[in-house]
Amino acid sequence: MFDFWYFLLRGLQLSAPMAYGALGAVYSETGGVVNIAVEGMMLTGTFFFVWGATLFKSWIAGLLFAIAGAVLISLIHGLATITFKVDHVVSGTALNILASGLTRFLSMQIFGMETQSTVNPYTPPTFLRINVIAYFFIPLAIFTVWLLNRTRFGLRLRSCGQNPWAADSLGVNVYAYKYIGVILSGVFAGLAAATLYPHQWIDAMTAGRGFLALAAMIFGNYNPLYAVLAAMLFGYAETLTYFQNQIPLLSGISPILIKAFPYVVALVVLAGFIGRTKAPKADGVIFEKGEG
Amino acid sequence: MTQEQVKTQPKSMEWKYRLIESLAPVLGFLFAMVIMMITVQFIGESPIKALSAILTFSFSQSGIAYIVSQSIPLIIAGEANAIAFQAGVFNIGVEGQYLFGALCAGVAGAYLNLPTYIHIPVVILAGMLGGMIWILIPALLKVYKGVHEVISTIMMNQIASAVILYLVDGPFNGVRGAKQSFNLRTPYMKPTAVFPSLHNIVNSITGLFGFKFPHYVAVDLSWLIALIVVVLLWFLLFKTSLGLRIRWVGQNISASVYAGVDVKKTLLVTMFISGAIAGLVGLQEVAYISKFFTPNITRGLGFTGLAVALLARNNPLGVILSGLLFSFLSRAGYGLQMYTKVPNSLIGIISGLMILSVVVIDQILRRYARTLRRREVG
Repeated sequence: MFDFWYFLLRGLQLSAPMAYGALGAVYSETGGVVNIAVEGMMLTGTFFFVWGATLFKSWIAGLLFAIAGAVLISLIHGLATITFKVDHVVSGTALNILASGLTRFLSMQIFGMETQSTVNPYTPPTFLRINVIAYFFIPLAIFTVWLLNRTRFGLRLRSCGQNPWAADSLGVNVYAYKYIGVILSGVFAGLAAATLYPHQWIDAMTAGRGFLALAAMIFGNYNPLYAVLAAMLFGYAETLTYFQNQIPLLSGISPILIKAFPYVVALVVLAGFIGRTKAPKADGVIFEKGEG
Repeated sequence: MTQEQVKTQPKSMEWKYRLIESLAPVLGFLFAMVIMMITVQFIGESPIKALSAILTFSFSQSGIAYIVSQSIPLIIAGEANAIAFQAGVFNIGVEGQYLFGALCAGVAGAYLNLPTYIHIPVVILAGMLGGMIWILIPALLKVYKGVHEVISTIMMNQIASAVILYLVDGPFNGVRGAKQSFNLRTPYMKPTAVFPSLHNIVNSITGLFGFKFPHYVAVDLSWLIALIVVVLLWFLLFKTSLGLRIRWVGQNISASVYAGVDVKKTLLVTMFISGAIAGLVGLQEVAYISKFFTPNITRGLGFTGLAVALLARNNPLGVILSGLLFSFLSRAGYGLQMYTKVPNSLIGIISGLMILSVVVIDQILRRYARTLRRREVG
């Protein structure tokens, strides 16, 4: 029988990595830094979670490690794009390659295996059978809406993404705000990692979810709440594939092919709705103090 | 033009600034190597031992032969990325495009019955067509809907993985009963479709310098294909008006609109060319080495191709050098793995780090050269 409640909860859990990733990307891009590196940050976070948790025998240590690992990658991204003014997409791409090598390298050093870690028994507690961390992305999205739209910090961060030169002329420390945006995207990528699969690290386990998070952010028109709802659309699309046999419409599709379902959904929504979205005006623009 | 010359002529130092600006790839490479040696030391292995492992493993006769042969798919993948980058397009989907292209080539080779001089071109065209099919949706979405290609091509990569597995598991399964097993593959290609070896021709040339490619290293038609791609792309970019338009669009979209360039058409054409080239990446493996397509085909060449193009600054001729460099790096990784305690994956870190350090150093050097120029003018 189709267990509707379980489907609902499972969907929440599967949406969480993309929702947190999308929220982080919103912070980064609101400040004007395009963040293709979300995928790499999430992957690094997943490894660091298992590492920290097994090292200190505590899931909280795992969570802190995951955030630290993802923030480390985000700091390199900030350094390259904000301080050294490198093209944002080039830096993000390089960091995704780096993260893939880094996690495999560390896994070899720490667990003695290159493509997976040992099983981690110190996972976050569950509530109603799912990871507790997965319950917080909607409250955090609402908090983000408030933070970005109702506080001085949010206004300044948005000004850096819309018109950094104007912000600069009004005395806003544009570089600092951009760094904060990028670092927050790392923090959220760490949360995303903690909800993905804290039981074990497996090579390339994020499998494009960081990019789905970016698609959710674009589909959500750079609005935190809509981005999270878009992430839930992808998350529930993925959940449907696990309940495939219980759903008459889907049971005929090959189990191999249905793995592509969330990505097809993402493409379809991007194709159908993108005309209405609007990125921050100076998103991805290299800002240099005193020029422009 | 003449005004420009008048302006720059008395500044004999211009060549020096150009030199400074062009040093970035070398310095970036050296920086990455230094970091690599520090890491090697850090995990308790001697950097000298690591270096000698790399050198002996890479610069033996078979080492060099492998590096050259395995640079072929990297060069082709690099060119597919380079042409897209020239128009300002990030074709992260080369990965999915070559997977699907390789499947199309494998299927065309296995199921058609044609004389060899038609069959081989058909296999090549099937690969290109497969790559173009796989970039069609991202290209249309980018041009008509403004969807960033990085997102859409990544989605297509994920979909490609599922689709090729589905197709080889189902309609194009060449092994009965091998459901989802490690042996899953298409039927063997017809002998008429298999790429000819170019050992004799290549060895008769390299033999003049006292070097022979061993028979177990792939020296095949894909070498010629790579060469043709490089030359055609260079010609297209720097000797035709389409190439000029592509570079304009890549440098400044709004300015090229004022100059009367049809940006949408240029982007579409560029992306199709990129997809077609991407479709050729897997041909060496499919049509010469294994003679069938399998979902277990070498993965990740598209992403390495991205690094290859970035390091070559998207210059089609430079791609040859950086393709060789990345082929060397991958060989070096195996050398390290085999003779030292250093795992192969260190090379992944170094590749990412190298791209980053090249672009960062490039920015620093450009600034430095600009400051020197201003000082001279002032």
